[in-house]
Amino acid sequence: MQLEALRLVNFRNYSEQEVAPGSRLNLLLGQNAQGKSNLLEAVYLLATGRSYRGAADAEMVRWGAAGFAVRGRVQRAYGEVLLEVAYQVDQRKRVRVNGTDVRRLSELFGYLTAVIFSPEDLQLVKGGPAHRRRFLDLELAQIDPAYRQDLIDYQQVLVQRNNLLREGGAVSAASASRRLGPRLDLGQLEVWDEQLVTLGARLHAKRARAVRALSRLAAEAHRRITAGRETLRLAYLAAAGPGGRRVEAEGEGAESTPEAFRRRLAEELERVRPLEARRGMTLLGPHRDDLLLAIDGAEARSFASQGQQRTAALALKLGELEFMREETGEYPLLLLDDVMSELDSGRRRFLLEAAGERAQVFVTATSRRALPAGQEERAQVFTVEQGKIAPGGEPLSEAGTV
Amino acid sequence: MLYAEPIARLIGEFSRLPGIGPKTAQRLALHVVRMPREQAQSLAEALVAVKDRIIHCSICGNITENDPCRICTDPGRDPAILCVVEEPKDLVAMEKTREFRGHYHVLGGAISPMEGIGPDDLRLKELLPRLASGEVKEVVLATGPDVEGEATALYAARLIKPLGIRVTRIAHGLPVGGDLDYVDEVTLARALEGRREI
Ligand SMILES: Nc1ncnc2c1ncn2[C@@H]1O[C@H](COP(=O)(O)OP(=O)(O)OP(=O)(O)O)[C@@H](O)[C@H]1O
Ligand SMILES: [Mg+2]
Ligand SMILES: [Zn+2]
Repeated sequence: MQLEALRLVNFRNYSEQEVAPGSRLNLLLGQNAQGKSNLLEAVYLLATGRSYRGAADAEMVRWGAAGFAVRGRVQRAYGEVLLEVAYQVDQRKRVRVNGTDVRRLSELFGYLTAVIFSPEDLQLVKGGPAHRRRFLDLELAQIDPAYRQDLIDYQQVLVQRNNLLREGGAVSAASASRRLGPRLDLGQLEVWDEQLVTLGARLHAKRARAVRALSRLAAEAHRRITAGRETLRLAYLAAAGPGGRRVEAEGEGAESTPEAFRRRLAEELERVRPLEARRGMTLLGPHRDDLLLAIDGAEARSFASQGQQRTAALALKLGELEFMREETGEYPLLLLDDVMSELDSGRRRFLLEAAGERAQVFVTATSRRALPAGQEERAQVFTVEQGKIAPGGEPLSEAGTV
Repeated sequence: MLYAEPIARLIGEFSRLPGIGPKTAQRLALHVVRMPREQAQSLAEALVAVKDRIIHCSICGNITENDPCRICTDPGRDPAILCVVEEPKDLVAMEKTREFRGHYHVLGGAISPMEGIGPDDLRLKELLPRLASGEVKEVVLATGPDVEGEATALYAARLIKPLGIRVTRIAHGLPVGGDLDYVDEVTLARALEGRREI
């Protein structure tokens, strides 16, 4: 897929800007604080309705303006799509697909898909499990509307169930005889349990399947980056063991069907109930799962060097790119924010060759030298300066800091 | 005070209504000032009439002028099938489909621990006596498609099943997270056809 045209109005430091990106490698060149990341943020906003930097909508409005609008024209295999995300201060964000308002933000997903890679993605390897769950969720939500809805529902079930675990629920005459401890109404708990395990098993099955595919694709990228010297392995760890301990998800087969996993989750849930009642929270399920990354058998989070961790993060992102291509038949956009300066020239070349041949890529950099030799000629260069973007443009002075 | 007391008071009353902010309240109040007296009178009477004449049906819990309500007393309706909904507006949505010819039971909400709403805050206890005579052969659970509606349906199913009555749940595929009354009639009619055992 390809973003053919982009228009920003009062978005971050852009007042009014149109861009016509090239179909493959796009280099956004500019000194610090000129608006390079802001542009990637706008592209990502069209894909997911949100900032990849976690910014609130109001923060993306150009200072002094009353609202922003980001519009894009996307070329898909099935035709052209017009997307618009607009926000007016104190109003709800408005999303339009082909000129028609959509009721829910999530209905935007899937028209433009994007993979972002920025220095913070090192947290995927170094950080806590929440980073890796978010990674899996965003990847799956972009390509699977049913997953997205199940995830929303699951989170709501969790909120309700945790509330019940804490408050116990009003005494119910119908089930007064079935209480756990002095407070907790089992009859009420069970209707949340049932939804927790049904939705949880569906999320689990899709995540576990995605991780199997990712493991194959990321391992392949990793093998090529390290010239076969190291082996990356991914495994999905489900918080479905005794007491909520994480256990490695089984491979394909009878034991990994949603139905089998649902039964297992239900059994463990019943066992962990007294503990949950004491702690007032849900201890089992996909909201506590993790993704294991191991290099030559050693967990990357604890044992890998900085360089190895960077390589693993890069391989994971390239795996995500290929996974989304396998699932949707088209390459998502690849947005590379500031990563050139973090990678050595071999990895830079690999990244741009692996992705730049097939996907539409946006790379930010402060210097043309960020691109490996031979790539610059292929790239469509844009100069970003104080909230203005010009195609090609002057060769910048290379005084920009990194 | 910028407005004379009667206007300020009307603005205050309007802004207590759901979905009406101070600006809209002001616009509505000034509109009333420009209204012919008869129209204002008629509006005031309509408001009071709702409070004086509308009550809850003692059988199904729907809002009605007469107790029991029109549906509960309609001899043309099938007493063997009972449809459980959350709110009166959901009953109206079901009626619009013209597919359903049984009776109703309005719960008055859905189970929601975060709002402190448990089973005993709903009209579930009034439901069981209605099933005791054995006349009802099927209960259709048409609570909302969100997780609270599903929890309510599961809870009700557990209460009803021991009585040996068939319990079904209307099919999903509704815009999830939405309200029943938001769903168009065709979708809802299909959901009713595709109901499943729960
Ligand atoms: N809401 C806003 N309105 C106006 N300007 C903003 C807004 N938000 C951020 N900016 C400006 O945008 C600039 C940052 O832009 P951006 O993050 O895109 O920089 P960059 O070109 O990626 O720089 P670097 O190379 O340092 O990453 C800041 O200087 C800030 O002043
Ligand atoms: Mg930047
Ligand atoms: Zn009635």
